[in-house]
Amino acid sequence: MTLPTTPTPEGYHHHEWWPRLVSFVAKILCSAAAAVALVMLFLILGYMVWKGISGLHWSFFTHLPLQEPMGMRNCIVGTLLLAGIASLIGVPIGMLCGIYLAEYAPRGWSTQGIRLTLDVLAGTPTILFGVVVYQIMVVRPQNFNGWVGHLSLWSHRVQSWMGITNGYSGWAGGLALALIMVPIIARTTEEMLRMVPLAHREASAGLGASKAETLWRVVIPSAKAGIITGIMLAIARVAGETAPLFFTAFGNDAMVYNPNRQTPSLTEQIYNYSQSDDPHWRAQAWTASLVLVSMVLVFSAAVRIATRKRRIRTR
Amino acid sequence: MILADTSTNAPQQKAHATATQGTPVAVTTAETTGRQAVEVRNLEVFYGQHKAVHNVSLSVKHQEVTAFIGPSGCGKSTILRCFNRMNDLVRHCRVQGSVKIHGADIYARGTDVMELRKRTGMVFQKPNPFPKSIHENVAYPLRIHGVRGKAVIAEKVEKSLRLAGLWEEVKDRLHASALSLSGGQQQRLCIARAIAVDPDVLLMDEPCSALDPIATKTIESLINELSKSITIVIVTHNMHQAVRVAHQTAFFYMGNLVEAGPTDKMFHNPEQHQTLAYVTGQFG
Repeated sequence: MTLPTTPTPEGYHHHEWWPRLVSFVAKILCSAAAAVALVMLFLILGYMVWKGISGLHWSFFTHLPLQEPMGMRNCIVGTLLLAGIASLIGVPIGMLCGIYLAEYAPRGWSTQGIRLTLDVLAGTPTILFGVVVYQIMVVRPQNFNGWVGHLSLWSHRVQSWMGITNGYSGWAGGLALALIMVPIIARTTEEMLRMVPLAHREASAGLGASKAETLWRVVIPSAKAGIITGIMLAIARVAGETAPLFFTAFGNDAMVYNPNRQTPSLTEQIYNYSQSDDPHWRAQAWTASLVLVSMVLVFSAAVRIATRKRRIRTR
Repeated sequence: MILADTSTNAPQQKAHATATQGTPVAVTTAETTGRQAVEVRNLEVFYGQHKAVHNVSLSVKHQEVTAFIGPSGCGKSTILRCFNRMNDLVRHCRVQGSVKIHGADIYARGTDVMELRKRTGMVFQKPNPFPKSIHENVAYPLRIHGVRGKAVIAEKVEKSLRLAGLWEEVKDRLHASALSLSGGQQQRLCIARAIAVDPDVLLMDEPCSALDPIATKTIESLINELSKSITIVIVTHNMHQAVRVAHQTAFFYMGNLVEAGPTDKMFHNPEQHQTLAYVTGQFG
């Protein structure tokens, strides 16, 4: 009786060359694409640092644009103010919208329609949000007829009731930025909630938790990290918005703490100064860019550290 | 005690009569007669147009372990999930007939499903602890059912973990993540979580199918221990497990209850040919 022969180690070797070639080419292409993306990113960042660092001086953070030496203290405060107002309005609305879509919305064409609308809004050129807010909050209602006029009129009545100025203001700028944030936050929140495993929901329901309890105590805590990342992305995104602010916050060379006034921002100042003939002003625009990018970086890092999983305590 | 009755025309009285007379299907010990934890009458479950459970009637005796066996897709998990109305969460799922737990019809209008699920704990096939600390996992059902006070909660958590045989292994790291435990420990944590609010009935849906033999053995002795105070219904694929843990066994096939009775009888002297064929491994 003959036993089946044991294959020798050589027997497992494949001498086909093409699968290895395909694999090698794919690897090279992917690495190259990653390299191109990284190189471009670092070129842009490096150029910005190189051009901007010379203007980086304490006075940039303490002085105003018309002082000597020039500074952009008002723009930094203005950007924070606008992003703050936008977050106060946009984060809760966006999150609630995402929670509705993931947990409560009926399945069907209407919900699919909401989703599609949000996706379209997330991709809409942001200048449009500026124009919309301009029409309902900035321009006097007498300038419009028909339903736009009615909308404008009512919004002005609400504004005066709330003590918000008609015209260019930080509120208008914040609202425009909030409208940009809502679809981004809503869709990320929805996606993150959907990623929470069914097993967690079943476990909670099986213990007698209501849907709301399951949502607030199990599902949202599980999805927290992802939702926060989405919110940070949205804030970083609006901190870099320029076009909608031209129609709404407009800008200001003075120090502004009250959002009822025209409000300056770094982006809008970067735009203005980079158009200037004065090389000194153009240098200031580069410094402002550097500061803006650093602010977003520091903010993102701070949020990540603050929401990082606590070290596991033993007792 | 399980009273099997698959014939459509069998009224409840007949089942009751067999119970008191001690006929072969119903096993009676003198003092336990009539103490039914779960009573199912003419249960039918539909998923959309598909009928998954056909007219099942059975009883689960108080403070015993009852095993549901049968091949995949026979409806045993579906029936189990009717006992705490988990099927409510499934789209297009419809339940007909009555399920009474300790005499109360749980499908009656106005039933508090949250309260029902509190009193009818469930352990799932795959261990599913929350991504929280060990302590928080067991404290969760206490908190949602209104237990307040750190000391009270800590005490109840310890009691549940001890009952689940996990306390000695985790007492020094109660605040570590539940996900750092092994699979068997996670499943015992889920049992501790389910028994934290003192349920009357514990439903176990193939609780050992994702575990290794040693962890399975631990869970099985835990089931024996718990059955002294809690009614347990366990769905299992593993016939040997049914023999090891269950006082009563019910065999399901294609959405029908084929036969139910004392485990010993079911495995050695069943009345139905199909049961014999299944327990001797001829199909399934």
